[in-house]
Amino acid sequence: MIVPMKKAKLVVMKDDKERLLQSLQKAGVFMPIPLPDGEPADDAAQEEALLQRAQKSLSLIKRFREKEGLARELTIVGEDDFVNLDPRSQEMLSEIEGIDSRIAELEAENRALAEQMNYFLPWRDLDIKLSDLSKTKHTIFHTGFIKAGKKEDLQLAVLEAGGEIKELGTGPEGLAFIFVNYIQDDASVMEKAKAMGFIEVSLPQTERFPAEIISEKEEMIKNNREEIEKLRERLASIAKEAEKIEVLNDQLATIGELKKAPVKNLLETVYLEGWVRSDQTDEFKKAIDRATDLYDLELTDPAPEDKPPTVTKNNKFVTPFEAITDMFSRPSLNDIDPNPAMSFWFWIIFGMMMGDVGYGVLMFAVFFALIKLRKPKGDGLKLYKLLLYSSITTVFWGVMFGSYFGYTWNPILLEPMKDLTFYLNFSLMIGAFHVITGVIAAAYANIKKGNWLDALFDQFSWVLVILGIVIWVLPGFLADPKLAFLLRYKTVGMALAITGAAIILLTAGRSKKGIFGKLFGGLLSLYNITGYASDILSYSRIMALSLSTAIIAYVMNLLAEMVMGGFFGYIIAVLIYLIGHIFNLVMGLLSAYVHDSRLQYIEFFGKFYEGGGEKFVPLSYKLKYIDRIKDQDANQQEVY
Amino acid sequence: MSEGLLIAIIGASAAAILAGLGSAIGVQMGGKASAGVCSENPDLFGKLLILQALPGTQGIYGFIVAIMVMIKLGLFSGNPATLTVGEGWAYFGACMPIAIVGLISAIMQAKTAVSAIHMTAKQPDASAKGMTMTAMVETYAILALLASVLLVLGL
Repeated sequence: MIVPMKKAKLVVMKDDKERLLQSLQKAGVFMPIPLPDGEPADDAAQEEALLQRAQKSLSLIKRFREKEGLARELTIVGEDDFVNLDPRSQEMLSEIEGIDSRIAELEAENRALAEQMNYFLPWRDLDIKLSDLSKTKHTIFHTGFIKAGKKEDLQLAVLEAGGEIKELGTGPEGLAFIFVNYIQDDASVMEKAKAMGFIEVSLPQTERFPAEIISEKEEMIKNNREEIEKLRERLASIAKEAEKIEVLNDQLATIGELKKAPVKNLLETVYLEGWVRSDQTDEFKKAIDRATDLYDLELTDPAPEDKPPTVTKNNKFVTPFEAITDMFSRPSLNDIDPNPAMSFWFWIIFGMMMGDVGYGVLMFAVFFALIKLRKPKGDGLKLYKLLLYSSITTVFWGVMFGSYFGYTWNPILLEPMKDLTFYLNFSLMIGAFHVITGVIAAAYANIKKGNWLDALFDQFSWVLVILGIVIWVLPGFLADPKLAFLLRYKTVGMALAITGAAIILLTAGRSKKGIFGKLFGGLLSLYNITGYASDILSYSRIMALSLSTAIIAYVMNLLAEMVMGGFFGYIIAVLIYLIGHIFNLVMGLLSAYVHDSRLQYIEFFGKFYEGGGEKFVPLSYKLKYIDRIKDQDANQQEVY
Repeated sequence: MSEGLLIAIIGASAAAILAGLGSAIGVQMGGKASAGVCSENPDLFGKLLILQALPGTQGIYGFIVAIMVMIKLGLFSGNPATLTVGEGWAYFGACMPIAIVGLISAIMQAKTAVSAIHMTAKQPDASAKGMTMTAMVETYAILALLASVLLVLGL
């Protein structure tokens, strides 16, 4: 059911603004709407900046946090602890940021040091202080690199001229050499050396040995690494308190939300406008009373030009399935709530597509455990519940098909891999009834608006046609003995279909002008039968998906049986059973979810549902990490 | 082994090969797009994985038809049927719908999936819409699977 909305117009004194907004946020029943010349209640820039820092810090310490066990602990925070910011959490932020920037600094330093070290590495074995490599009276030193292939040529050139040469380490540009020439021969030797591709390098003039410089840099790098390690340990110890930052995150998001609430500041007062669910007006009034007794409130029904948000309220079974509709589009004001009818069909069709007792039991166990242990909230919880409920129909259809982990035992209705024609027939019949439900929903919407005749002419007629054709044609179409009893009612079906078609032919063109226009409109509308036919044929996917689950299960069993025998044979067989069936279950769940949704969206919703409604987002606590806030007021209220 | 059986086996192999190839290409396309989006927004991984997996079903369909032919021909029982050349070609023909449609529809579906992945990157809430759009393409693979299955069993 779609909950009607009330528009609230509220005026309070300026001094009460903050208290009122806090009280409303706590109650979480009021959705403020932006006003044409309004503005945010306060400047939330500070909170937003802090929120970004909190999120960055959380991602920085994420990898240092202890892994959660299988079961998730709920984060429950007391009301006072939530309302008041803990100064320690903000200190933690600065501390984490400090450590992070220090680590970045040290890492940059280490990169620079490593580069310098690499520069000296080829010269490690040079046992002369670098400052001694200068010109002497008769000789001149050269240091540089040459490609390995020209090594001998260089040595020869230097020795021929009476110089000395020594090979050192390997660098990026080739082999490192140092040699000394007499000053008078230097120019000619160097000319030869350059021609061989010798690259001269002038080393910095320090009074130290290269090996000394290298070990010094190594030492510095090592020290830096140790400091980084210590800082990481520090982060890990801060990470133990990460929950504090998570709470801070939610607090900041909540305060930011409050400050961004749209209001209109008048001279002495503040004006707010927004939506309240009609079943929550009492809570709304109570929340205002808690904040102030000086206010003016007006609650009205939405005006025709308004676009109120939509909220659907359904029973425990239907609620999880709302997620399916909401993913498509929320109901708009013109729609009826599609969820009650949709949830039933989604549930039934999902079970058919899976159709195995073993898989149903496995689904139940897995999703039950997930809900109990992981304690999901919001849409995640809805999805798990939806799959948990669908495990029941999976078991049901599994029994009908006699399918137990791909083994067949006592099928009651049919055996998917044997009774193919019957199964196809049966899927189309389910489809016909699903489509008929959609048409009836359209009729219901018309009746609700008071258009009785439209419901009769445009929808009831089609129900007759589809139902008639199902009874008339389908049993004979694929000639199945199990549906043979329906053949007796063939004439009834024919009569129904013809009556329906006659109504359409005579009435569908009623808005057209002239007798020919009316007749032509009727004929044209009758042509829609092809649309209905293709809609119903689309349900053959129920059979196809169910069959593919069944066949893969069968193949996995076959493979496992093939290798069975002997100790290792049994181990491999067990592995094939496990991996094969888990794979099949996961793929089956994916296909069933996607194709069942599609059948609802296209074939079912297409008949009556428009969507396009907005989500109801009340001003409330924004809890991402916190699961629940203990309400200390509740106890006090009992005392008074 | 009779010549007919040989032709039937080639048909079954074609179903598994072509549809499998299509899916491999399709899932690869989806995976590349998802990896790109994930580098920007790792939280979307779950939603993207579903979109990536969608073009993977054609390979399964081809595999199913191949297995059905094998069962029908008694290849698992170690006592293969003897087929005439005509019967062999009939099996070959029965495998063609899922072989050809599987190959092409998987790639086409992957193109839609890639667009849906990009849409999800910009609007994470729209992933269900993208899923539905992508699943629309699969309809024809399902129809081809049904045609092949009914043909194989009808023979």
